[in-house]
Amino acid sequence: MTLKLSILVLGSPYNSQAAYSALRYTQAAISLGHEVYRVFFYQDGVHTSTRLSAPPQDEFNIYEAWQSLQKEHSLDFVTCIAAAARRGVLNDTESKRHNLPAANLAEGFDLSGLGQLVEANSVSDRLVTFGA
Amino acid sequence: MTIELDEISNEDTAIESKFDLLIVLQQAPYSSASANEALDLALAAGTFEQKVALLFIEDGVYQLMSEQAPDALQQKSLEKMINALSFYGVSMLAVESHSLFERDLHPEKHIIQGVHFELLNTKSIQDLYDRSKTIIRF
Repeated sequence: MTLKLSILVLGSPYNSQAAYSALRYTQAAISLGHEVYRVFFYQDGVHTSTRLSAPPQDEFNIYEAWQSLQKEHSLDFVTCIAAAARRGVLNDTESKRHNLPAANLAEGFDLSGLGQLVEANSVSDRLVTFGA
Repeated sequence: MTIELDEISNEDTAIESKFDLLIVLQQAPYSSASANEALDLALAAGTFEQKVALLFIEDGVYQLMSEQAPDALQQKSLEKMINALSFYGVSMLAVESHSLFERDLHPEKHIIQGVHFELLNTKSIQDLYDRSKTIIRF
């Protein structure tokens, strides 16, 4: 039986294992044939969606791993717009709207509201949370 | 005795409904954005007409203290958000009674008045978990 899954990421890459476990879970779910309806990044999880990170060369690059997973499977990645603005993760539109000098949302991520999380929960068989 | 217990539990389940989302709030207010963002989600889910329940547990019960004065920390009041929940259709607010007891908090003395909270024991919390499609802990 395959499931329609949505993933909620609440932890940031270096503060907990949440972002890494969520990545591995999402990869595993896809490889087992489950549908990943949406991955939603909230609270400190929004830090996963920056494109301005440069981990040392000899370390695992979790940002790149999320971005290539999204690209490979055309996944729906949504970062909470309010949580992201608080933490300095902005796309071009938000950056201009707040009159700030730069934008850093990685390709493949969309900024949107909590309604996207609520909707994902209502249409998915399971919403699996990682973090805090 | 067994029959009596069965009757009681049937009666309990008859008045209980199912929830699309149970938000568990277990952190003290104002020390991080956690409580604020958890309540934001509750309000959003209420707006989308989802059946939402909130459970305050462990240090999360401090979010329910009356007369919160977060101005000193330059933060917004959670008390206002909690008061607003019912306007967004979020009507099931539960508190784990043991968490209050452990912290010497008394519902009639320390907790926000004018908002209805269900006081739940461990078994009722298990029931609430069973009746919820999704549980998110903050």
